[in-house]
Amino acid sequence: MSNKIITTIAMLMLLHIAQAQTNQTPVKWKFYSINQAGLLNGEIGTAFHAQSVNGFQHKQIFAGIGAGLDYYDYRSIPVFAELRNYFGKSRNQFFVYADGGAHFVWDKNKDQGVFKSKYSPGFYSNIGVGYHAVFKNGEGLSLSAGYSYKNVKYSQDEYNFCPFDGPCNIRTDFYSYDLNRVILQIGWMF
Amino acid sequence: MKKIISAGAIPVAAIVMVLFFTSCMKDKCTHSYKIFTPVYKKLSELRSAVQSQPAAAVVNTGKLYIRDKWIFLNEQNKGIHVINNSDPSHPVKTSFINIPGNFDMYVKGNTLYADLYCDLVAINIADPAHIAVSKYLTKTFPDKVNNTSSTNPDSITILTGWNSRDTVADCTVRGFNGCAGCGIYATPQINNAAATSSPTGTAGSMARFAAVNNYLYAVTTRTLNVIDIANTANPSFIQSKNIGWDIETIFPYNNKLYIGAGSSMSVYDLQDPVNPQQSTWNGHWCSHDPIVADDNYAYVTLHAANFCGSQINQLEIYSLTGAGSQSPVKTYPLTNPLGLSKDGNLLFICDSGLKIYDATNVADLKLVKHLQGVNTYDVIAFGGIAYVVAKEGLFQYDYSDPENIHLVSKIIK
Repeated sequence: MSNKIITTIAMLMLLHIAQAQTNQTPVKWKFYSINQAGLLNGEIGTAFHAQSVNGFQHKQIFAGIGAGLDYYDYRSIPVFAELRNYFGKSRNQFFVYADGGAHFVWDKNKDQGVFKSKYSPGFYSNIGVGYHAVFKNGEGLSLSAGYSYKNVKYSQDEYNFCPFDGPCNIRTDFYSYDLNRVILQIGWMF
Repeated sequence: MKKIISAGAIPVAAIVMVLFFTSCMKDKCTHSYKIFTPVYKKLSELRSAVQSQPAAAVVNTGKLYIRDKWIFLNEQNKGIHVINNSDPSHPVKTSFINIPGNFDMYVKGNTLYADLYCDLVAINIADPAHIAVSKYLTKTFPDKVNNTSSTNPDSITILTGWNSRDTVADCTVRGFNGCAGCGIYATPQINNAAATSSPTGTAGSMARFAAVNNYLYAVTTRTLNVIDIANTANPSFIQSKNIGWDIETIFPYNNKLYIGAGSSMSVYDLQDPVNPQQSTWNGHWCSHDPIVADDNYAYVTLHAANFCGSQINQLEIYSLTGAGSQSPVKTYPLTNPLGLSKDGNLLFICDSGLKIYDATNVADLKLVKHLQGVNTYDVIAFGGIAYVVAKEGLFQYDYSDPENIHLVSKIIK
């Protein structure tokens, strides 16, 4: 379901870009930095979230890349691409956005005794809607809400109690967590 | 006014939406692992499998025993590779002795003693290509037997392995990281045997067999078994002495037995060889600790035991001049040490490869050479050759010139 939503939004944005490029030349892109913080809420509770997205905007389309911190269940660092589409002509606008990329678990307990976990990068996505207010100096404040997903994958080596029978063989278990959250964030754009 | 109300409604609407959808958010966890089911066989069936076979590929290296020109290399749980090492630069695998459930060995004269699951088996190896079983000592290592009072090999069943299949399941308990199949390891605590130094051969520091004069000493996880081997072809069980728990290795030196355990290193005096008496005990927390000794010192490598979270990886050196519990004379940090061996002033330690130290002054060990690139497990340094068993196979290094320690040969998987 989430993949369909992301795909739809991405296609709409690409269509919008294509139309803009067809109708108006030359295309002028302006750099913006969007820095947001907020809360993630899911089955296991609420966690802090922060990110910085930097990219370029032309008319009502913003495209950028971002990185952040995601403290939900497993602390991790998402790295992603973002597309944003603003609606309306006024200074204050609604927008939809879609992030997609990977996240990397920032392991808090590298030394775990019996269970040694090895984390792999997992898929990260975030889609939602928001409202953006622009001040006279060109800076803006945004509030957005949406759905966020991250997949945490790791393996754990479990040691046989065998060092005195010979070189030890290791049994490996694999885990995959699909973490679904709603996200509420406030951001500053300049 | 209308515009202000409209703008103010937006954050409220966003929060309401978040709260509304929160209850819909469910996480999902999948756990992929193997399910194991036990495989049992009759002891009589296992005994019938003891035989000579043509030389076989080295697959899962185990312990090592050196006697004259022969190298006996354990294939874990399978048997023993017999290797003619007349020319260390060209070792030749001559045969394979199939012994189910075997991990350890000792050789006296033409008799090989080995563990066969719960049995101690004596095998005539005068011709390694045509062996003959001399005797089985039934249930010498009872930990490997299912609960039964029978001594009839047709009635005794042994857990010999596990069938496995891949399984994917939901993680039922969040926060607990799995271990759905852990129970399989709770069943048979392996008790093994191996060989040690004797006039006729040398074993590694990981051995669970040691012989002094006419007695073979074999440790299990809790006991020290004493076996009379004066009549080599007809060994007789004398007693099983309870010596604690998590016992791991045994090393004989100077009429004493040095016994390594997960939580201690102890010394047993052999003034009465049929009834060894503890003379020294030094405790430590949860580390595996193979031991070797010379006239003055005992050298112990502590290897972090993963199952209890210990992170101690070091070499400890104890003086043998005192009695009772002692503190180490000196400790040296290591990476992940396992077996060790000493010849003259050279100390060999399996630690991220093979480290060779000049131990002339135990208070100031000097690293002579660090051979890297193999996952070493145990070493026997003897007669200028360091025999190194590693996960990759068997390696021989010439250390007759400590300034020029070099690889002589290898038998790899």
